[in-house]
Amino acid sequence: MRNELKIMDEIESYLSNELSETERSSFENRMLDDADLAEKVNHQKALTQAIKRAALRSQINTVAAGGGGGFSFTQIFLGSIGVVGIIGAVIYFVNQNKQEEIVSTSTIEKNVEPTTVVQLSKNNERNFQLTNEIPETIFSSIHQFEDIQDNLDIDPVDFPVNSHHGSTINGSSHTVNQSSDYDACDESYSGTNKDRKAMFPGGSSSLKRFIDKNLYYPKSASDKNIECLVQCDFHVTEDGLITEIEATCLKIAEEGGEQFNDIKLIRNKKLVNAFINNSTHVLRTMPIWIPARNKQGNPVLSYQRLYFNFDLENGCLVYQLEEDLN
Amino acid sequence: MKDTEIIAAIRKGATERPIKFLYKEFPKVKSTIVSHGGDAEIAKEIFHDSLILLIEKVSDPSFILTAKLSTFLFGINRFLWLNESRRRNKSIEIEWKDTLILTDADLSFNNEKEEELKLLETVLGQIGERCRQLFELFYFKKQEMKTIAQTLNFSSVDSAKTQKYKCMEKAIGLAKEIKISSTNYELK
Repeated sequence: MRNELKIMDEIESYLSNELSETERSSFENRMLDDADLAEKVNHQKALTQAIKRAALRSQINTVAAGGGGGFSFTQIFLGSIGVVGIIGAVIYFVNQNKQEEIVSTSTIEKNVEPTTVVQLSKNNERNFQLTNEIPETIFSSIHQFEDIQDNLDIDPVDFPVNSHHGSTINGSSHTVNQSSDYDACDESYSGTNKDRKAMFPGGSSSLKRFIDKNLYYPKSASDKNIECLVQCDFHVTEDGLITEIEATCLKIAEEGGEQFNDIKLIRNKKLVNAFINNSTHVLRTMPIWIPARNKQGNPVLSYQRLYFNFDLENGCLVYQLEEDLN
Repeated sequence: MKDTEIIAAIRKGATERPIKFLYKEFPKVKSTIVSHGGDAEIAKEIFHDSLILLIEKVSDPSFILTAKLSTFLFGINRFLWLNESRRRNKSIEIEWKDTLILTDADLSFNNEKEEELKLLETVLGQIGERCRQLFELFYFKKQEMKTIAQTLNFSSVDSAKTQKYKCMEKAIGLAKEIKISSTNYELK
């Protein structure tokens, strides 16, 4: 037994590159002479790799299941600081009797205050509209778009605007905000190649107009001089519906300042949410897209990524990266 | 996280945050695979395999990143999906634009080796919880044998080592057995 353990240790130090140059070459010579040893080395190598893989796989599965492996002490600590901060903020808001600006339906559940007034649009209760008061600081995105118009949308071709459009989809959680501005293009469009990318109805200029009209800089953030970059991933289904919107805040910082650290991030959760909600609000209220098509001309599911850059100097800038288009 | 941070973290062995970060690429991969004839299940499997390959590749100190890490990850997914569709005898040449075209050699990828590793992974699930813990602590978390002996309640470092040896023999023996029985089955 002693001897076998010794061999195992030797193999381990060989595999993990712990041997010196001379020891290494002598071990390799021994492997050449001793087929049994060589086989053992191979087995042990493969097994080590498999063990690492199995461990990695379980880690990946934890992430895939949405768990983070539980809370660490620091997270709980930071969380409690955040809670105290939020309570402080709530008291502050009540005292100030201040009106909230753009709050989307998803944020109001938790911080219901008597002072927060959110008016839903009268004609369509599912179609969420902005609050009754338009924020003082509205940053137009118009002049930014002119520079990057080509990058903004997927398809450079502007389709002719047609006067009729598809009907609103019922029974879906998707709210469709149809208006004559964003009409679907002619379905009978036939190019040389049938595959094409998903497209906002009316092409890039139409998307630009839509975003200009619907995207606002959160007032609570502009008051505090805070800027943010939000990344939104979403799917455009075969029917042209936008689903699985996933928004992440890539960067949040004071104007010209450093990226927020964890504590600041938790204390400013509300602002992060405001940025994310304003971005996703635009996506959620979009009309039906024209789905991507494969070579046979059948509509297929496609993936889109948009970046929403909230910049105090230049306003809101929405763009797509060339590398994300595929 | 920046690419350099991810690579540094993986090399240190702290893989959890990089995995969380890289997992954000999944929707993109999923939709590409689904629109190229796959389904959600296989997309998930391929993506998980690609993460493992990426981590193994990055852990190698001689690895130099030539593109963005997400592009590299995407390239691996493309490679694995091509491999999978070849296995299913479907020759779908997929157009994944703006991605790296990787070959077997780039990834030092070998189907036989992968098969064997898959087999060993299943074997690891059958050798018992104690063996699995022992292996994971020693080879993955790279803990000292002394600490492991304490956490897993072994009477001494030597007995933990002996146990590890026995577990290893068991695993290798089991893998051989399965291999032989499966080749016999194929011959019949």
